[in-house]
Amino acid sequence: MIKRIISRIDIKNSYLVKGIQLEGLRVLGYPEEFAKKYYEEDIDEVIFQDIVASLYKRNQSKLVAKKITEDIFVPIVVGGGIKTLEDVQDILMHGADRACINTGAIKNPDFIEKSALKFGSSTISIAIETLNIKDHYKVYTDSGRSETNLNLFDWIKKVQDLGAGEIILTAIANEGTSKGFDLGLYEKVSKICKIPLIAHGGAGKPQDVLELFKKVDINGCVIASAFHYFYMNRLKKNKIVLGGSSNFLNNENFDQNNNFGISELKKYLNSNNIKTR
Amino acid sequence: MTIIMNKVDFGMPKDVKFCTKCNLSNQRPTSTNEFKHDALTKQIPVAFNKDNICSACETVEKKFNAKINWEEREKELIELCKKYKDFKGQYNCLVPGSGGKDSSYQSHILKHKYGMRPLTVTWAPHLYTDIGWQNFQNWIHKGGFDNYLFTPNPKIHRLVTRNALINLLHPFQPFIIGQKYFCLKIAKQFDIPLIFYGEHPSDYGANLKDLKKFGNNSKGSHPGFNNDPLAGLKVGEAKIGGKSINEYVDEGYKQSDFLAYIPPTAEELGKKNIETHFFSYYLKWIPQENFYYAVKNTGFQVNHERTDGTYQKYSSIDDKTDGFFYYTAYIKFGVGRAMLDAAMEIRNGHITKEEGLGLVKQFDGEFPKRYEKEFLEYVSLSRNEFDELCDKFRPDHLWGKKSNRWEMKNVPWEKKI
Amino acid sequence: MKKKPKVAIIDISINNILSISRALEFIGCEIFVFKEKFDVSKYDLIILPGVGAYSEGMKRLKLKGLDKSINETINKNIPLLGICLGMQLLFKSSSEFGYTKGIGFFEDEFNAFSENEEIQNILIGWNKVQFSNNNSPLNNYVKENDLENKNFYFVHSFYTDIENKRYEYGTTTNDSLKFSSIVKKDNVTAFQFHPEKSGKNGIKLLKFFINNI
Repeated sequence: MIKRIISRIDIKNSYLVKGIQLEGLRVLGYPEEFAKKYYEEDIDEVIFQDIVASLYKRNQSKLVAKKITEDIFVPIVVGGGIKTLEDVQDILMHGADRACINTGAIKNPDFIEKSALKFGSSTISIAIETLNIKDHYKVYTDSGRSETNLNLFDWIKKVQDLGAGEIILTAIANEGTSKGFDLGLYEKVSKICKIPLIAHGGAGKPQDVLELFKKVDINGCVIASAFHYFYMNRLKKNKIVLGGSSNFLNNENFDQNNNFGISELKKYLNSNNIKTR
Repeated sequence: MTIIMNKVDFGMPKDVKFCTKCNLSNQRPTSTNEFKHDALTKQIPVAFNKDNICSACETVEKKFNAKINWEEREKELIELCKKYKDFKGQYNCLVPGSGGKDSSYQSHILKHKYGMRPLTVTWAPHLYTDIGWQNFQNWIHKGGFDNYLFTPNPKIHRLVTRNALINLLHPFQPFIIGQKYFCLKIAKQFDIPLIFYGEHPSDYGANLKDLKKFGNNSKGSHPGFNNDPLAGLKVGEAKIGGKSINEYVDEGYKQSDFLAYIPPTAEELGKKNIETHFFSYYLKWIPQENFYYAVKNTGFQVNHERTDGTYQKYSSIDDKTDGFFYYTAYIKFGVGRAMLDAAMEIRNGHITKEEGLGLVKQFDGEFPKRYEKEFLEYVSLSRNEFDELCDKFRPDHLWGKKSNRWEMKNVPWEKKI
Repeated sequence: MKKKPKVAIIDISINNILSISRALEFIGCEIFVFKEKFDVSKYDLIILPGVGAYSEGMKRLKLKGLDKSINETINKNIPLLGICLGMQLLFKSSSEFGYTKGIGFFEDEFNAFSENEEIQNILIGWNKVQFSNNNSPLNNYVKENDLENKNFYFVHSFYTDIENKRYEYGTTTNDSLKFSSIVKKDNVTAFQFHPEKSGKNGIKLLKFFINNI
């Protein structure tokens, strides 16, 4: 099975931002520039996420979708504050292939079923954010800010029954840290997940991705920090003036997180018998 | 209960205004000399200029408007560090902190980039949260620091905290006293010549003119940042929890029970030649960037969910009583946690004014449910008693009752009535 | 100056046609979108795209007379390209939600992956297309442009494995099940995958259709 290598671009007010453990709004540049670069480097898919939508109770997803998906001829997923059928329709009409829903689904699980029936399961991705608290995996909404009383595994089963097309599962503790994936989590979840499952959170080295695919029966992974910090240096330097948010960007000495490029990753995976496109 | 307030007046302006840039209310108090703080104390509010912009915004704006030469400032830091490099003692500087994002950043960069030998000093939270303890441990284990953790006698700490709550509706006061002044005692005891604080108080509105240092005859002072911490008081006259130590002694306690809170005098500090500097003078201080640095270098982890009363997960997360500090401030001044957090993030360019407004509207003043049980046990009050106590501290010009519910008379997202 | 190829896209409005429009514009076409019956003779290429339910798709084609436009295209020998659901609609029938008759240009039927217990119900993702080595212009183009053994993007739950292999120009495998991913008969070509979502290789493949215009 070909493993999907997906990039995720978090957006706030038309800038690409990158946090750690779903916190922090450090600006790294313009999302359309990164998206274009990733497409040129043969990324399999791009997720555009408006990360403050549910928290700020607003929805700019369709603006996101239309503006920055031009000339990106691979599947595009858009998420952030999607909670009605109109929201889904809007983003599909504006260039997205799939809607990514988290908070909206938890607050109203029927929404998953209705969307799947109207638009097809394959257009509905359910994003789940989880954290291990004293050996219980808890589920969060509003960009990892509000704890629900859902049991992760029950929610995953329910989401499948309601017709979701795939699940993107984020391990909050690993997100943005470059410390590797939470393999234990994905191992457990893959046993109960019959629809495509995608891992997100923690890729720091190509070996992390290889280990994930070798040890877990999973369809793909989402990589954000590792690619952003790698390609940041390879894009034209923009002068963005946003006070503290752009301080890192404007600093000559980029204090680098662990990072790597798309082709480097794919070559490494294929040479170790993991097939990518 | 020792004092019953019928008409509270903290000295704040009767005309409520909100900063046109960061939404901060002009009711926000700046720091006060806690040893003089009692029920009748009037505090100094944050200053607003004629354009209704608060002084914190004015200060922070200077950080980013390219008028400060940060390279020069860093050179000054390097010079300062060079001056103390060959200091004979084991430690040449002291960094107070808890393992939060700010102290983690500061201590780590001082040690690993500027070659200093810091002693980190921690005044324990009232009640450690799990994440707070974990971050504290990670800080010293992963960052690699000598650390002096001091826990004031919990019985006395509870006593003064309860008094602070009942007399001043300020349960955090004993912590503030310890956090601010304990490091001076340790510097004196261990002969450490240099203390680094992080953020300059003017970043949140205090009118402290010298941005580089205070104490040791530096220019200017502001209540709470006096050259002489006791500001001329004798030990027995110093107030903790709104009550003087002499009064506690009258109740049967000993003066020695409270000495953990008493700082060295200006004279004692002068003899030791201890200087206190503000790190934010030397390097551009951006709290969110401190957070990124701390995650990377000292294993800092965010809280697992947003804290009550705000939207963020990375600031002020180590004490179970934190939530009540912010909640009581909201009662007295109409300034809650979300307003403060949002104001800081607006000033630093992370969020816009409108976004901040939305967050304040959603979260400010939210009752801190998570550790309600632990806090009420700690101060030996029932929920009813606590609510009644709070009601006595609501200033008339801020609060009114609508259908038997308390409501703020002025909120930043609505035009003034 | 070379004239831009005029391409008509049939829009049955169950999903967006933005991506395929953009892809065709990207390779230099002038796009015209039709939601109802139109004069096909003005166009160099007609596209029938689609994602979604078969019965709904057929219903809309008939409702707006677009099935007639498709038949006209076929009869007038104008190049027609069906994509995904568009491909399925050109066939005889599908068993989705009961039995629905299609346009019937190809004689075979579509069946659900889910009928086979051993394989995934929905194929979402990248899969290799094995182009048939039949010396056709398409096949030669594929060889010249390094498109052999490349992956393309699929998202579907129904498939067909056509009887008459003369019309089969590409196959793909879902687990152990091999199905027809490219079919061609006369002026009608159909892809089960989405060329407009298959990256640079998809774009290259689309170019084939406008090369000779």
